[in-house]
Amino acid sequence: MTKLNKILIGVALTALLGAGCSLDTPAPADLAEVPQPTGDGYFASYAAIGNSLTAGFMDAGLVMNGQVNSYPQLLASVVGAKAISFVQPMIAFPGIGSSDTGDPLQVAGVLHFDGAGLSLAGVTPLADVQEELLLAAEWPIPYNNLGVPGATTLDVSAALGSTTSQSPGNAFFDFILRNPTFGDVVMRDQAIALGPTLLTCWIGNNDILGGATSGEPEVGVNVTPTAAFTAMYTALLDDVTDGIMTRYGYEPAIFVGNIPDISSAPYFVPKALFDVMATGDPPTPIPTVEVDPVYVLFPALSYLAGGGLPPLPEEYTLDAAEVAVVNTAVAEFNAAIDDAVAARDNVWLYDANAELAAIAGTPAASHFLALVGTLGVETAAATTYFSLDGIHPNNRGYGLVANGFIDVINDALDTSLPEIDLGGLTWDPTYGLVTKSWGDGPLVTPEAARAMDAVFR
Amino acid sequence: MEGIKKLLLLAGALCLLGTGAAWGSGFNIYEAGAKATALGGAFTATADDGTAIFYNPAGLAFLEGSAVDLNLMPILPSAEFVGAMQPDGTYATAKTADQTFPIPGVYFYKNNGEFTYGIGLSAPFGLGVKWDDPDNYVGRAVSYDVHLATIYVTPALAWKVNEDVGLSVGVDVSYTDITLKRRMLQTFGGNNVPIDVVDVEIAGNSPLNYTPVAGAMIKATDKLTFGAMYHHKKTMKIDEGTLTLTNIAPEALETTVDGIIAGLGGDEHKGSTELKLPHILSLAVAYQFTDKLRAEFDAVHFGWSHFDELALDFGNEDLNETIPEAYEDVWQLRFGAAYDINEKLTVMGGYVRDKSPQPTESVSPLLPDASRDDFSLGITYVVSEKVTLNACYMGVNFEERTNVVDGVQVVFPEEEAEYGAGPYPNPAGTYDSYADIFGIGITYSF
Repeated sequence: MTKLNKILIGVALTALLGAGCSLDTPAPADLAEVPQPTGDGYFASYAAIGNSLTAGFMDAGLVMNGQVNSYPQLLASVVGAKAISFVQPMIAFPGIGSSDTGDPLQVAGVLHFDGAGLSLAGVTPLADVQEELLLAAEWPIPYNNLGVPGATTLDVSAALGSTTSQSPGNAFFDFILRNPTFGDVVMRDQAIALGPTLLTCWIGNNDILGGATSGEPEVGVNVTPTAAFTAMYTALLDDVTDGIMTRYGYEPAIFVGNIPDISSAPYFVPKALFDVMATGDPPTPIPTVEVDPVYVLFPALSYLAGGGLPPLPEEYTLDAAEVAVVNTAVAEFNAAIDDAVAARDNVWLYDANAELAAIAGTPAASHFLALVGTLGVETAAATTYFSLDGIHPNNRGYGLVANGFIDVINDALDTSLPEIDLGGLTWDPTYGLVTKSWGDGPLVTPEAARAMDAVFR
Repeated sequence: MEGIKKLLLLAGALCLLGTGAAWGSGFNIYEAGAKATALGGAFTATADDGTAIFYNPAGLAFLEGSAVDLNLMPILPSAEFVGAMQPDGTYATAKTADQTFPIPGVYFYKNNGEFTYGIGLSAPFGLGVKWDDPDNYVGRAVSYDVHLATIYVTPALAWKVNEDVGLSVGVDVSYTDITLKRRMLQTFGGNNVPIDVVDVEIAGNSPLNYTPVAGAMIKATDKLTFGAMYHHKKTMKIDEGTLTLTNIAPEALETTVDGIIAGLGGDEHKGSTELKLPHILSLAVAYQFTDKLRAEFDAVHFGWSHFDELALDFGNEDLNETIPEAYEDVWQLRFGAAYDINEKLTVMGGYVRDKSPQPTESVSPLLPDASRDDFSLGITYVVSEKVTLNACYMGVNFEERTNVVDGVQVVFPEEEAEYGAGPYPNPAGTYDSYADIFGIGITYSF
């Protein structure tokens, strides 16, 4: 072999061995900015956060009969084809109520009108709740309706379950947020994870009503201080907007509801009306521990029916000073909500307070029990907008709320969603179970009274 | 046929080694011999050793005596993926696992005067794309490990019509083996993120398939040679495929996923598919510039439009799948030159412009193809009258390929119908690939 050959072979081998892989890491491709939805485009996906009012809580409990008429479900039903993917944490009859049954192994269902008054529509053994009641427990992703009965503004961004909520022991947090299996994700972040283009948020009621329904409201104890509410509320709006923008690249349209005044709810019975309900017309004034009470709480009826003697204890009445505490909080919260909405161009207000104030004092805002004696079951049920617990709307009431949101949405987004036909929303307070006749039994059974008592516990 | 059986057994053994890689455009592997590869595969009008059985069997007509030609060409591919920028400023990245695919080329011929017969084994189509870290790889719902090998055993007969003209016919007897691993993902949990619930393995192989191959070589002048070669397209029917579903869900979902698998009819399914391979038509011209310098140009046409879809039929609507491919026919341009340093040593070089037949919509973790430029070099060294050695290196430099055009992921209409505006299982992003191909060959004449 010549020297030249050796050199050439050497060069060739060196070249072969020296050759190697060379990869230039590409730069990441830029995706076009995710288009910001407009008009109907905002209806691509919808999620709702809130409390019992959002959950479709009715008749002191959560049950499918009411949930299918929650305002988020009604709203989803008109926003278009995507509504079919609007999932709620459906609970089978008799539902899960807010009362204890006196037996820790039995879970109360919703209230119903049994012909004579209010009683539990049924109970479920605790051991069967998961299997028989929680119909959507295996839905793999967050529910579109994330409303948790009892949730406060703090709970939305802080509560993981019943033990970390501001209403300890409130199992709705566990049923709806499903932590820790679901990765310990709070309501706010579950909503973000859904990437909604349309979001409703109706929160803050429980920051006040817990105090109001206790009969002893006190700021800082059972009423959230306004400054704290304002900070939490604005942070919530910003966190949700930023979270969806960061993860999905678009800004959601957020529609918020404000806090209705307590005078709108039949749960708070003006003293004069209460005397009529309790003693007939003309009334005999019932003595109270508190001087000159403005409102008597509805469950006082059962206190009397159960043999409780006047004067009514303090927890059944709100005097003027207590009403002032509540009204001040409602006014301040609503002002804070107005400011928060005004400062953000993706947030709009549904004035639930004005909507419900407009029906205050009318038969529509009367308790079913105050109507049924004269109107009969069907007409009474078709007259009132409130459910048997006196705080939460019934089907038509939620329809009213849904239409309120729909009007604001149409104005804000320049869309033309049709309104819900309220006449088509029939509410059956008997749940098909009439076992007594009018006057035959207590107006409110002790269990029912506990259920009403515990609505905002 | 005895010879074919033995060669197929050998082919099977080579398959176990892991034959297959997508390093010719589409999933063609044009590297059937070390010498031809050194010339950039521009060999149709040269075809002067046993590898002619693949590159142009008419070349056999001009060979004398008998020879065995053994070639082994390890291919070392690598690919990177960089996902499209997400709204939160993050993007996915991925790399393929290091793999080596030793591509075989085994040939024998014997000249009987006017006729020469030969038989060869090659692996002209294959694919091997295995992504690192399958638990997190962004494209795992499409494929995290795919392996396709085809083996051609080609008996051929060449006829030396006269001193200047050779003609040949043969049969490509082929076999294919395919494995695909992917994941089924399910979004789950409060954060609504997809998690892996089922590992899917699809595997199958084909019965033998027979198609014709033909070649012609014309020595127009002392210096000018024309060559032509044609391998017919194939439809490899894979009838005895299997699909296996394995529950890999986290504990909280295990029962649910068991139910899903039961609902699909169990964890084992039989199915069939067809793998469509293109024709290869090469038209070539070689010219002897000087006593020492020879060069060739080949235009190679691949009928990739035959590969229109990959239809997986498991007799179950929930498992059946038609993967649209919509490949296009392409022409490859191949240039090669050889220079004789002396009687024993020849140096060679080549260049290939290789256009991808794959439409942008089809660019996926299964096969992120791209147009590429190949550069090759190599040597032939005549050790003795009986023994000749060849060595080559080819670098395959892929262009970057992205499925994001003007900020939008390009998808087939079928995908848009199924997934709307996305996200799609096929991730949006950019691929870059490279491959080193080394080759050695030994020719033993007798």
